[in-house]
Amino acid sequence: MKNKYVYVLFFLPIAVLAAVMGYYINAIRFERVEIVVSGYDPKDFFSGYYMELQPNWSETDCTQFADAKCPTNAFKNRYKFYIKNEQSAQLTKAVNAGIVKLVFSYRQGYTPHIVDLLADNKSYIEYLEADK
Amino acid sequence: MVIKKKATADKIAPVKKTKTTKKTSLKKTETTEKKTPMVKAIVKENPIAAITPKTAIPAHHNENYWFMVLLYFASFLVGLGIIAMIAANWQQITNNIKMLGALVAMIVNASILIWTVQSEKNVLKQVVACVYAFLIMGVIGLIGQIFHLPADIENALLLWSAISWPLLFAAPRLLWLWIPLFYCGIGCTDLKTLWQLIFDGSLYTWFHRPEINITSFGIGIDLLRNLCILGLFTVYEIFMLSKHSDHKTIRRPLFFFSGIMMYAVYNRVVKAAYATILLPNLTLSFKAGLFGAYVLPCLILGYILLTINHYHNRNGFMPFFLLGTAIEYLWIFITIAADINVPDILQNGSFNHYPFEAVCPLLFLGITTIYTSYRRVDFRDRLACYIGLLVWFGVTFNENIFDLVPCLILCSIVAWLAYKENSRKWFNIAVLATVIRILGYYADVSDLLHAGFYLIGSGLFIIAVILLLMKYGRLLWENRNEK
Repeated sequence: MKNKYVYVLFFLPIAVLAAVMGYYINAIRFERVEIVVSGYDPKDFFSGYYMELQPNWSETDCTQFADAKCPTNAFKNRYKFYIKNEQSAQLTKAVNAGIVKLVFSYRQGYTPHIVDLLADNKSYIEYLEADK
Repeated sequence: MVIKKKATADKIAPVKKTKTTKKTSLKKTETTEKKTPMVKAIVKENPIAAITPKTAIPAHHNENYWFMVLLYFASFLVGLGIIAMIAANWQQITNNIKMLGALVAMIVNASILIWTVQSEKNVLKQVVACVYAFLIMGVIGLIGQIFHLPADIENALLLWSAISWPLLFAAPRLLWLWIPLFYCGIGCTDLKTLWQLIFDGSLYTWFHRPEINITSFGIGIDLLRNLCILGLFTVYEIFMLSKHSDHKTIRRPLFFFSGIMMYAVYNRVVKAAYATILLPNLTLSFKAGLFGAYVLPCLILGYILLTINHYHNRNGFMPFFLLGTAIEYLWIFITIAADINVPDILQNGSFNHYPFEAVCPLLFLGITTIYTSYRRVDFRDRLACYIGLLVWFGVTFNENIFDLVPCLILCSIVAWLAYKENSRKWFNIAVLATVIRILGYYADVSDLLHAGFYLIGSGLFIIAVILLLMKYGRLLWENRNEK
């Protein structure tokens, strides 16, 4: 390769992906809101196992938002939460029981991002360990 | 005859590298360096081969091609393993450590790549670049997993193609991966639309939903987008070919994908012409609009593409036409086989629109067959491979593991025949078919973590074996010849 500065380009993917990581790390630092969800557990070829979840606004506590009004338009109709394969059966039961909530990092005017999954008001990892 | 000529050209290459003029037409090609006695002897023996542009083969084409293909295959396995392990979702490790680990792995990989480029380790450079390409893909998947982003494969591939292009400097062969993934990134995720990407939306929508006006805003934007993509790709191709007119590694994938695009152009032109001429319930102004907005740009762009390829290498371009046709035809055949209910046809005699869809590629196949025969291209080999591909497609897309074995055997036979006949192109296609089939099997593996370990381990094993063979294999052959 004649131009040695071309080598710098090999670090382009690292710089871009680090910036993407930084963007999302910043995006999950907003206020937390909890939204009740329903869904199921498919498998994705590229990403592995996840739960496909839909916000259930009728069951969600809207007082956590400004003016006690759920900003339904700010959220998508479907979300994916990545889990391990062996956790899917237990979590599906919890989802069917209606005790699962998604925790979002939310600020008005910004896109909400998933932070955690709660089952029976505790982190899903704790819930799964307790439920064994 | 063609094979013999190629073999002679390959023999000449290591003896003496000659410079060709930038535009590699047969008549204008001249050697500018002083000829050694050995080259003079070869020229005397076979003057045609000596003045063919194939004498100016770059250094990286002196590699043993099946070693290189296997190395790329092994790198592919390692990369796939990385993605599988990431997909296995390691919850024991905190997100920050995962991200840090991913960045460190990429920095290490990039540093090794720079070292291999600087120290001119040509083979290792390509392996590292290939693994790096998959690592980038894996890290994009990891980010999606950590932040629970929607699994938008198109955006992920678009991001990958936008940031991984510098790797093409180190390993131009990655164009074979980069171009189709870029295609997928801009909105084309299945086999059928891959071939028809450039002209997908407009007429398809019009045929299937005739109530929508083709000149409506949405369809116009769709057409404009597709034409822009084709235009950009054409500009890119002209640029690359003018910069590297004698660089086979760059020329081949460009020919391949422009061949497929040419087929898309052809297919759409025929359909549009059919609609313009034969459909009775269209007004004259509508037909004129259809011709002006659709057929004419297709013809102009098609002509540009054909001229570029014709100018550079006609014979290298035509087989890809055939391949595109074969795949399209097979796809339609499979669609018909899957959709048609034979008793229903016998009772009602309804075929819907299928005959026309099937006649299109058949017509094209006929034209290209006559053309290639007229041009005295080695047609029999291609016909054999074409039939082989038909059979391969017949058995390959099944989920049952027992179908994996005959497919791999068939691919091995095609690869062996191609190797025996000294046809690199078809050998590579057979290996590619194997890779795709194994990829299909990977989709059925339930335990991603074990699959990841298995893929990385087997990939590294193949790389190690090939590198050893490349280093010491020549000695083995020399010893064999001495005996």
